[in-house]
Amino acid sequence: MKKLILMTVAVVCVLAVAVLWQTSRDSAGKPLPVNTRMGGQFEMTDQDGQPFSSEALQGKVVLLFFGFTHCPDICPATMARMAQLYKDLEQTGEASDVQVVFITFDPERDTAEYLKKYLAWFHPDFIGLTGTPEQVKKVAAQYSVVYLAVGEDSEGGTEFAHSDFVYLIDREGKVRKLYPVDAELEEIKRDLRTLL
Amino acid sequence: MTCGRYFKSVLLAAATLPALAGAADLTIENGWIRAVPPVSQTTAGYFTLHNASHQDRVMTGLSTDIAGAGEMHTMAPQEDGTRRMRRLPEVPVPAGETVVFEPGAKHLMLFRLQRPLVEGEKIPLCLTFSEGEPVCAEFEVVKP
Repeated sequence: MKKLILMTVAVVCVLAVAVLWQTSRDSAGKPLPVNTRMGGQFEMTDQDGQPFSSEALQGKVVLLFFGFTHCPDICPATMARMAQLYKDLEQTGEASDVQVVFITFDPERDTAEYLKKYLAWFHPDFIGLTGTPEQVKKVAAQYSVVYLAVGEDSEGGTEFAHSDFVYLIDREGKVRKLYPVDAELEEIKRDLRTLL
Repeated sequence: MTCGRYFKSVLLAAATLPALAGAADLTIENGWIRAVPPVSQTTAGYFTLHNASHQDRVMTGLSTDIAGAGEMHTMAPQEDGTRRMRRLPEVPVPAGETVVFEPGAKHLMLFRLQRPLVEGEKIPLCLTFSEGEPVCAEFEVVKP
């Protein structure tokens, strides 16, 4: 009886290791699929007030997030997480080919000057993009971002309902994966490294 | 003071005890405020509130010197995949229960910050209720 139990435990262990190995091999081996329905070229204004073309991101692996700086919860939380991730990559010497980009859908309040001050606190390497309402609308549509002005807060500022994914974009500007804002940083790093 | 008036005073004091005890039965734990860029005049606060009393309470707002105004908000997922922030005029805190304000869900919204907040500093903040005294605690400024 004792032998039978020991053998069963051994078989279960071997199977568990085999499954784990196969899983890790799959996630490491399979390239991330390309999302062909999102992305494309866009023109905006960067945090220095200079015209910005998405072509400037070619050759970089990009983490893109859409938000607005007067959002008190999700947006600063996500940018803080992006800053943590970027600093981790700096420590391992992998940050030089990575670019974090924040696009506002509140250009009225998020001017270039304001974005520069806001983003520099998270990390000075981050790019902030604003533009005309038409430019914002176009780029949001390219990434299937939903944002709706849903009224005013008690201070008279516009409140937005918005989707809140982080986009992983490869060196050729193709969207490879979307993450919810509470995704594990390790998962994002693991995926990102397959594109470096 | 006559014996009768003294007795009345004692009775009055006894009658007010439950209300005073009600405030003491509400405790704030893990209160923190999100550190935001100095240019930002808006941030959020989070905490856990225990109501150890046998009396239901209703939270109606907050006050703190650090902000020009404050509201209670929640983050509600919408059918179209977006999340929408919505103001909560009140938050019930049933007897014996715990209410949690946390990132991505219910949170305190602080408007018109009076000065940039410094990571690690403690900000006095009071929660107010439909009845009874406010409950106050120090909320630490945290850069998560």
